[in-house]
Amino acid sequence: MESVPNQTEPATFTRAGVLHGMKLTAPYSVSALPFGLAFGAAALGVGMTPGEAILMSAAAFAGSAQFAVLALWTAVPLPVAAIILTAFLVNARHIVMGAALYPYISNLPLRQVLPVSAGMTDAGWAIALQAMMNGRRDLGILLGTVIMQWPVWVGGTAAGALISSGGLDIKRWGLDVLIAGVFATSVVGLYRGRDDIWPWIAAVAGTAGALLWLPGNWYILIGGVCAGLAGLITSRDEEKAA
Amino acid sequence: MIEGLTTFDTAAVIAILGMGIVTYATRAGGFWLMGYVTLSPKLERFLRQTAGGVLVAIVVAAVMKGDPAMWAGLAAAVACMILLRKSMTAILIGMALAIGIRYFTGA
Repeated sequence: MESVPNQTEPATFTRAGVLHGMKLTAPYSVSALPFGLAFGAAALGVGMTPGEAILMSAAAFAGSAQFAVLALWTAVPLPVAAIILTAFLVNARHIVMGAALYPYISNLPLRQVLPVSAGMTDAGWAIALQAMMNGRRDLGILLGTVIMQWPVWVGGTAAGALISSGGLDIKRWGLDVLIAGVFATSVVGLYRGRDDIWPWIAAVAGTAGALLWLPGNWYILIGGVCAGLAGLITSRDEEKAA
Repeated sequence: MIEGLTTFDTAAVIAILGMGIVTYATRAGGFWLMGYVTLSPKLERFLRQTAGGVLVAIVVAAVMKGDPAMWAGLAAAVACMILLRKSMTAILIGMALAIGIRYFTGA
């Protein structure tokens, strides 16, 4: 949103854009396959049926959120509200991403934009934004990223579920470390600099407190909200300094 | 065919469809909102950090509830991620270390 696009020509939604988006996404699509396999295997490890794992990949199509809810899936009865809330918190960043992309395609009707946005991933968003910043303002690019990623994610999940359908001992096969490792490494990959330090410290403190003193799964909500509030406070300080 | 391909638990299906609905709401929400209002910088800042906070929370929970094999596996994964910048490789190394530790200590 910092760089308002040059609105000399209206954005388009073309077949050429779709193909371009598919081409740009191919490398990401290949690297997503092992994560799909891992998700399928881990999902069965925590007690999901193959059908449920595949349905989740197809309906939610959100890697981080899906791995996040695995940590909740072993509880009996299933904490449905906590699972849905966790998915929302992990995906809340999409609101900001969509808002950042919107100015480039603001002339297109929402009846075209909203269905395409249903498949927007972090990688797909980054690819589409970059292409649009470079002057190729075509909603087809975003659709191309979806076409290249969704089948790989769902297919990878199905294959992972097939491999582990005999039922795996989650600890013996290190699946708990795999699930936590997905997050530990994505935290490293997410680090963008000094601005992230205080939100993360707040998240660690809030989570640790919640785990020690609160029952259930409140720690996820508290970790997310603590980080969000810390981000708010540090941004206000920067505004004052400026 | 895969066993359990057509087996669904009602609560699980509700949870999964709920996830799908809220995830779609976040994806479409940014585009939809921008048609009416602009996100305030404060709300943007808040939403930007919540995802990181949730990821951190899950790691903290795994560490606090984990065994030494989990700690070693996560430490190895993070170190490999910092050095190699390849997440799947880093995760597999951490996983292999934890499997090894559990195998040899009988945990």
